[in-house]
Amino acid sequence: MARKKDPTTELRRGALELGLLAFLEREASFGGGIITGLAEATGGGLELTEGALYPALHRLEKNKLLVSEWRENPDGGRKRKYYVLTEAGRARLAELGAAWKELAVGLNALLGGEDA
Amino acid sequence: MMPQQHQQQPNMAMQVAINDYLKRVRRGMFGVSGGRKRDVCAEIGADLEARIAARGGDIPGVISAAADPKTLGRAMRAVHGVAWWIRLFFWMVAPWFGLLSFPMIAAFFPGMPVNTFLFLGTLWVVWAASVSGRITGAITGFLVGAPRIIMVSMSAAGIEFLQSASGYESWSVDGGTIFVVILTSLLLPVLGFMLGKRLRF
Repeated sequence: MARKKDPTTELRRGALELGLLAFLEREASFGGGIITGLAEATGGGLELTEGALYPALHRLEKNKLLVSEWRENPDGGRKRKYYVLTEAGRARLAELGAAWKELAVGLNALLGGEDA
Repeated sequence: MMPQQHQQQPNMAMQVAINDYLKRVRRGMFGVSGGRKRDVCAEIGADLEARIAARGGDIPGVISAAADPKTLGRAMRAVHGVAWWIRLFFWMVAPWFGLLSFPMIAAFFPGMPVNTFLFLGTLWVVWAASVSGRITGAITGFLVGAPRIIMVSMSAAGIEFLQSASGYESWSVDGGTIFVVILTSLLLPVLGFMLGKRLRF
Protein backbone atom coordinates (compact mmCIF):
# COMPACT_ATOMS: atom_id res chain seq x y z
CA MET A 1 0.00 0.00 0.00
CA ALA A 2 3.03 2.30 0.30
CA ARG A 3 2.99 5.11 -2.27
CA LYS A 4 5.67 4.72 -4.92
CA LYS A 5 7.90 7.78 -5.01
CA ASP A 6 9.86 8.96 -8.01
CA PRO A 7 13.54 8.48 -7.06
CA THR A 8 14.62 11.62 -8.98
CA THR A 9 12.06 13.70 -7.10
CA GLU A 10 13.28 12.25 -3.81
CA LEU A 11 16.89 13.07 -4.69
CA ARG A 12 15.96 16.64 -5.64
CA ARG A 13 13.94 17.09 -2.47
CA GLY A 14 17.02 16.22 -0.47
CA ALA A 15 19.05 18.81 -2.39
CA LEU A 16 16.36 21.49 -2.06
CA GLU A 17 17.52 22.98 1.23
CA LEU A 18 21.11 23.18 0.03
CA GLY A 19 20.03 24.69 -3.31
CA LEU A 20 17.88 27.35 -1.66
CA LEU A 21 20.54 28.33 0.86
CA ALA A 22 23.22 28.48 -1.84
CA PHE A 23 21.03 30.58 -4.12
CA LEU A 24 20.05 33.00 -1.38
CA GLU A 25 23.68 33.42 -0.34
CA ARG A 26 24.24 35.15 -3.69
CA GLU A 27 21.34 37.55 -3.31
CA ALA A 28 18.10 38.04 -1.43
CA SER A 29 15.15 37.03 -3.56
CA PHE A 30 11.40 36.41 -3.60
CA GLY A 31 9.52 33.19 -4.44
CA GLY A 32 9.05 33.78 -8.18
CA GLY A 33 12.62 35.04 -8.49
CA ILE A 34 13.97 31.98 -6.70
CA ILE A 35 12.10 29.56 -9.00
CA THR A 36 13.43 31.25 -12.14
CA GLY A 37 16.90 32.00 -10.77
CA LEU A 38 17.48 28.52 -9.38
CA ALA A 39 16.41 26.85 -12.63
CA GLU A 40 18.76 29.13 -14.60
CA ALA A 41 21.67 28.76 -12.18
CA THR A 42 21.47 24.96 -12.20
CA GLY A 43 20.81 24.64 -15.94
CA GLY A 44 17.34 23.28 -15.23
CA GLY A 45 18.68 20.75 -12.74
CA LEU A 46 16.66 22.17 -9.87
CA GLU A 47 13.30 23.23 -11.24
CA LEU A 48 10.91 23.92 -8.41
CA THR A 49 7.18 24.24 -8.17
CA GLU A 50 5.40 26.47 -5.66
CA GLY A 51 4.24 23.31 -3.90
CA ALA A 52 7.82 22.51 -2.94
CA LEU A 53 9.22 26.04 -2.72
CA TYR A 54 6.96 27.84 -0.25
CA PRO A 55 6.83 25.09 2.40
CA ALA A 56 10.63 24.77 2.15
CA LEU A 57 11.18 28.53 2.46
CA HIS A 58 8.81 28.80 5.41
CA ARG A 59 10.43 25.81 7.12
CA LEU A 60 13.88 27.37 6.71
CA GLU A 61 12.54 30.64 8.08
CA LYS A 62 10.96 28.86 11.01
CA ASN A 63 14.35 27.26 11.72
CA LYS A 64 15.90 30.77 11.63
CA LEU A 65 18.10 29.95 8.64
CA LEU A 66 16.35 32.67 6.63
CA VAL A 67 14.58 35.90 7.49
CA SER A 68 11.99 37.56 5.30
CA GLU A 69 11.10 41.16 4.62
CA TRP A 70 8.46 42.82 2.47
CA ARG A 71 9.89 45.09 -0.21
CA GLU A 72 8.27 47.42 -2.69
CA ASN A 73 7.84 45.99 -6.17
CA PRO A 74 10.01 48.09 -8.53
CA ASP A 75 7.41 47.59 -11.30
CA GLY A 76 4.54 48.76 -9.09
CA GLY A 77 1.97 46.14 -8.05
CA ARG A 78 1.94 44.08 -4.88
CA LYS A 79 4.82 44.11 -2.40
CA ARG A 80 7.08 41.07 -2.57
CA LYS A 81 8.42 38.97 0.24
CA TYR A 82 12.20 38.70 0.02
CA TYR A 83 14.21 36.04 1.80
CA VAL A 84 17.65 36.80 3.23
CA LEU A 85 20.17 34.28 4.54
CA THR A 86 20.99 34.59 8.25
CA GLU A 87 24.30 33.78 9.98
CA ALA A 88 22.81 30.46 11.07
CA GLY A 89 21.82 29.89 7.43
CA ARG A 90 25.40 30.53 6.30
CA ALA A 91 26.74 28.07 8.84
CA ARG A 92 24.19 25.48 7.72
CA LEU A 93 25.11 26.10 4.09
CA ALA A 94 28.80 25.54 4.84
CA GLU A 95 27.97 22.34 6.69
CA LEU A 96 25.62 21.00 4.00
CA GLY A 97 27.93 22.12 1.18
CA ALA A 98 30.89 20.23 2.65
CA ALA A 99 28.75 17.13 3.19
CA TRP A 100 27.41 17.38 -0.37
CA LYS A 101 30.89 17.69 -1.93
CA GLU A 102 32.16 14.74 0.05
CA LEU A 103 29.14 12.67 -0.98
CA ALA A 104 29.42 13.76 -4.62
CA VAL A 105 33.10 12.78 -4.79
CA GLY A 106 32.30 9.37 -3.32
CA LEU A 107 29.32 8.76 -5.58
CA ASN A 108 31.12 10.01 -8.69
CA ALA A 109 33.93 7.59 -7.96
CA LEU A 110 31.40 4.82 -7.60
CA LEU A 111 29.40 5.71 -10.70
CA GLY A 112 32.27 6.82 -12.93
CA GLY A 113 34.81 4.16 -11.95
CA GLU A 114 38.44 5.06 -12.61
CA ASP A 115 37.46 8.29 -14.46
CA ALA A 116 36.39 9.88 -11.20
CA MET B 1 -10.08 56.49 -22.80
CA MET B 2 -9.92 53.26 -24.78
CA PRO B 3 -6.26 52.26 -24.11
CA GLN B 4 -6.80 52.80 -20.41
CA GLN B 5 -9.84 50.51 -20.49
CA HIS B 6 -7.84 47.85 -22.33
CA GLN B 7 -5.15 48.05 -19.67
CA GLN B 8 -7.62 47.84 -16.81
CA GLN B 9 -9.46 44.78 -18.12
CA PRO B 10 -6.47 42.35 -18.13
CA ASN B 11 -5.40 43.76 -14.77
CA MET B 12 -8.83 43.08 -13.32
CA ALA B 13 -8.91 39.60 -14.91
CA MET B 14 -5.50 38.92 -13.36
CA GLN B 15 -6.65 39.99 -9.89
CA VAL B 16 -9.80 37.85 -10.19
CA ALA B 17 -7.77 34.79 -11.26
CA ILE B 18 -5.18 35.32 -8.49
CA ASN B 19 -7.86 35.88 -5.84
CA ASP B 20 -9.69 32.74 -6.96
CA TYR B 21 -6.43 30.75 -6.67
CA LEU B 22 -5.69 32.24 -3.26
CA LYS B 23 -9.19 31.45 -2.05
CA ARG B 24 -8.46 27.77 -2.68
CA VAL B 25 -5.04 28.03 -0.99
CA ARG B 26 -6.80 29.53 2.04
CA ARG B 27 -9.26 26.63 2.04
CA GLY B 28 -6.32 24.18 2.14
CA MET B 29 -4.93 26.10 5.13
CA PHE B 30 -8.04 25.42 7.19
CA GLY B 31 -7.27 25.91 10.87
CA VAL B 32 -4.15 28.06 10.40
CA SER B 33 -4.31 31.45 12.13
CA GLY B 34 -5.80 34.31 10.10
CA GLY B 35 -2.62 36.42 10.19
CA ARG B 36 -0.49 33.59 8.87
CA LYS B 37 -3.01 32.86 6.09
CA ARG B 38 -2.96 36.52 5.02
CA ASP B 39 0.84 36.55 5.00
CA VAL B 40 1.12 33.36 2.91
CA CYS B 41 -1.56 34.51 0.45
CA ALA B 42 0.02 37.96 0.05
CA GLU B 43 3.33 36.30 -0.76
CA ILE B 44 1.90 33.81 -3.27
CA GLY B 45 -0.32 36.50 -4.83
CA ALA B 46 2.63 38.82 -5.42
CA ASP B 47 4.65 36.01 -6.97
CA LEU B 48 1.80 34.98 -9.29
CA GLU B 49 1.40 38.59 -10.35
CA ALA B 50 5.12 38.83 -11.13
CA ARG B 51 5.03 35.63 -13.14
CA ILE B 52 1.97 36.70 -15.13
CA ALA B 53 3.68 39.99 -15.93
CA ALA B 54 6.88 38.17 -16.94
CA ARG B 55 4.90 35.92 -19.29
CA GLY B 56 3.22 38.79 -21.07
CA GLY B 57 -0.10 38.54 -19.23
CA ASP B 58 -0.65 34.82 -19.83
CA ILE B 59 -3.07 34.43 -16.90
CA PRO B 60 -4.47 30.93 -17.68
CA GLY B 61 -0.98 29.63 -18.51
CA VAL B 62 0.51 30.75 -15.20
CA ILE B 63 -2.46 29.70 -13.09
CA SER B 64 -2.68 26.25 -14.67
CA ALA B 65 1.08 25.72 -14.29
CA ALA B 66 0.95 26.70 -10.63
CA ALA B 67 0.77 24.04 -7.91
CA ASP B 68 -2.62 22.66 -6.89
CA PRO B 69 -3.80 25.40 -4.49
CA LYS B 70 -5.43 23.13 -1.94
CA THR B 71 -2.37 20.85 -1.76
CA LEU B 72 -0.16 23.91 -1.40
CA GLY B 73 -2.39 25.19 1.41
CA ARG B 74 -2.18 21.85 3.22
CA ALA B 75 1.61 21.82 2.85
CA MET B 76 1.75 25.30 4.38
CA ARG B 77 -0.49 24.13 7.22
CA ALA B 78 1.93 21.25 7.83
CA VAL B 79 4.72 23.81 8.28
CA HIS B 80 2.88 26.34 10.46
CA GLY B 81 0.38 24.13 12.27
CA VAL B 82 -3.14 25.14 13.22
CA ALA B 83 -4.11 28.01 15.49
CA TRP B 84 -3.86 27.34 19.24
CA TRP B 85 -7.62 27.72 19.76
CA ILE B 86 -8.37 24.87 17.31
CA ARG B 87 -6.07 22.56 19.25
CA LEU B 88 -7.68 23.71 22.50
CA PHE B 89 -11.12 23.01 21.05
CA PHE B 90 -10.10 19.45 20.13
CA TRP B 91 -8.68 18.91 23.62
CA MET B 92 -11.64 20.38 25.48
CA VAL B 93 -14.22 18.25 23.68
CA ALA B 94 -12.19 15.01 23.78
CA PRO B 95 -12.72 14.04 27.48
CA TRP B 96 -16.51 14.20 27.00
CA PHE B 97 -16.32 11.43 24.42
CA GLY B 98 -14.21 9.47 26.91
CA LEU B 99 -16.75 9.92 29.71
CA LEU B 100 -19.79 9.18 27.57
CA SER B 101 -18.20 6.08 26.03
CA PHE B 102 -17.42 4.52 29.41
CA PRO B 103 -19.32 1.15 29.36
CA MET B 104 -20.45 1.17 33.00
CA ILE B 105 -22.29 4.44 32.54
CA ALA B 106 -25.01 2.35 30.90
CA ALA B 107 -25.67 0.80 34.33
CA PHE B 108 -26.84 4.23 35.55
CA PHE B 109 -28.34 5.46 32.28
CA PRO B 110 -29.80 2.47 30.43
CA GLY B 111 -29.92 3.02 26.70
CA MET B 112 -26.84 5.26 26.68
CA PRO B 113 -25.18 4.54 23.30
CA VAL B 114 -21.67 4.14 24.72
CA ASN B 115 -20.34 2.39 21.62
CA THR B 116 -21.61 5.21 19.45
CA PHE B 117 -19.74 7.69 21.66
CA LEU B 118 -16.61 5.54 21.43
CA PHE B 119 -16.96 5.58 17.65
CA LEU B 120 -17.49 9.36 17.66
CA GLY B 121 -14.50 9.77 19.99
CA THR B 122 -12.36 7.77 17.57
CA LEU B 123 -13.55 9.95 14.68
CA TRP B 124 -12.72 13.01 16.78
CA VAL B 125 -9.15 11.74 17.25
CA VAL B 126 -8.84 11.02 13.52
CA TRP B 127 -10.12 14.51 12.67
CA ALA B 128 -7.81 16.21 15.17
CA ALA B 129 -4.83 14.26 13.82
CA SER B 130 -5.64 15.01 10.20
CA VAL B 131 -6.16 18.74 10.76
CA SER B 132 -3.50 19.37 13.33
CA GLY B 133 -0.82 16.69 13.07
CA ARG B 134 0.38 13.80 15.16
CA ILE B 135 1.15 15.57 18.45
CA THR B 136 -2.35 17.07 18.63
CA GLY B 137 -3.76 13.71 17.45
CA ALA B 138 -1.90 11.83 20.19
CA ILE B 139 -2.93 14.32 22.92
CA THR B 140 -6.57 14.23 21.74
CA GLY B 141 -6.45 10.42 21.80
CA PHE B 142 -4.99 10.52 25.29
CA LEU B 143 -7.72 12.92 26.45
CA VAL B 144 -10.44 10.59 25.10
CA GLY B 145 -8.77 7.50 26.59
CA ALA B 146 -7.66 8.83 29.99
CA PRO B 147 -11.17 9.40 31.48
CA ARG B 148 -12.12 5.88 30.44
CA ILE B 149 -9.10 4.38 32.22
CA ILE B 150 -9.65 6.56 35.30
CA MET B 151 -13.36 5.66 35.40
CA VAL B 152 -12.81 1.92 34.95
CA SER B 153 -10.16 1.91 37.69
CA MET B 154 -12.41 3.89 40.04
CA SER B 155 -15.42 1.67 39.26
CA ALA B 156 -13.49 -1.54 39.83
CA ALA B 157 -11.98 -0.26 43.08
CA GLY B 158 -15.30 1.22 44.26
CA ILE B 159 -17.31 -1.92 43.56
CA GLU B 160 -14.71 -4.10 45.24
CA PHE B 161 -14.81 -1.81 48.30
CA LEU B 162 -18.62 -1.91 48.43
CA GLN B 163 -18.63 -5.67 48.09
CA SER B 164 -16.11 -6.14 50.87
CA ALA B 165 -17.88 -3.62 53.10
CA SER B 166 -21.45 -4.74 52.57
CA GLY B 167 -21.23 -8.25 51.18
CA TYR B 168 -23.63 -7.12 48.45
CA GLU B 169 -22.47 -8.82 45.24
CA SER B 170 -25.02 -7.78 42.71
CA TRP B 171 -22.64 -5.52 40.78
CA SER B 172 -19.33 -6.68 39.38
CA VAL B 173 -16.76 -5.56 36.83
CA ASP B 174 -15.33 -8.50 34.94
CA GLY B 175 -11.72 -8.65 33.84
CA GLY B 176 -12.65 -8.84 30.16
CA THR B 177 -14.47 -5.48 30.24
CA ILE B 178 -11.57 -3.83 32.07
CA PHE B 179 -9.14 -5.23 29.51
CA VAL B 180 -11.22 -4.01 26.53
CA VAL B 181 -11.70 -0.54 28.03
CA ILE B 182 -7.99 -0.15 28.79
CA LEU B 183 -6.91 -1.55 25.41
CA THR B 184 -9.23 0.70 23.37
CA SER B 185 -8.24 3.71 25.50
CA LEU B 186 -4.53 3.07 25.01
CA LEU B 187 -4.98 2.59 21.28
CA LEU B 188 -6.56 6.04 20.82
CA PRO B 189 -3.38 8.14 21.35
CA VAL B 190 -1.44 5.67 19.21
CA LEU B 191 -4.06 6.04 16.47
CA GLY B 192 -3.85 9.85 16.70
CA PHE B 193 -0.07 9.78 16.48
CA MET B 194 0.07 7.32 13.59
CA LEU B 195 -2.62 9.03 11.51
CA GLY B 196 -1.33 12.54 12.18
CA LYS B 197 1.55 12.04 9.82
CA ARG B 198 -0.36 10.22 7.11
CA LEU B 199 -3.68 12.01 6.86
CA ARG B 200 -4.09 15.60 5.69
CA PHE B 201 -7.62 16.78 5.08
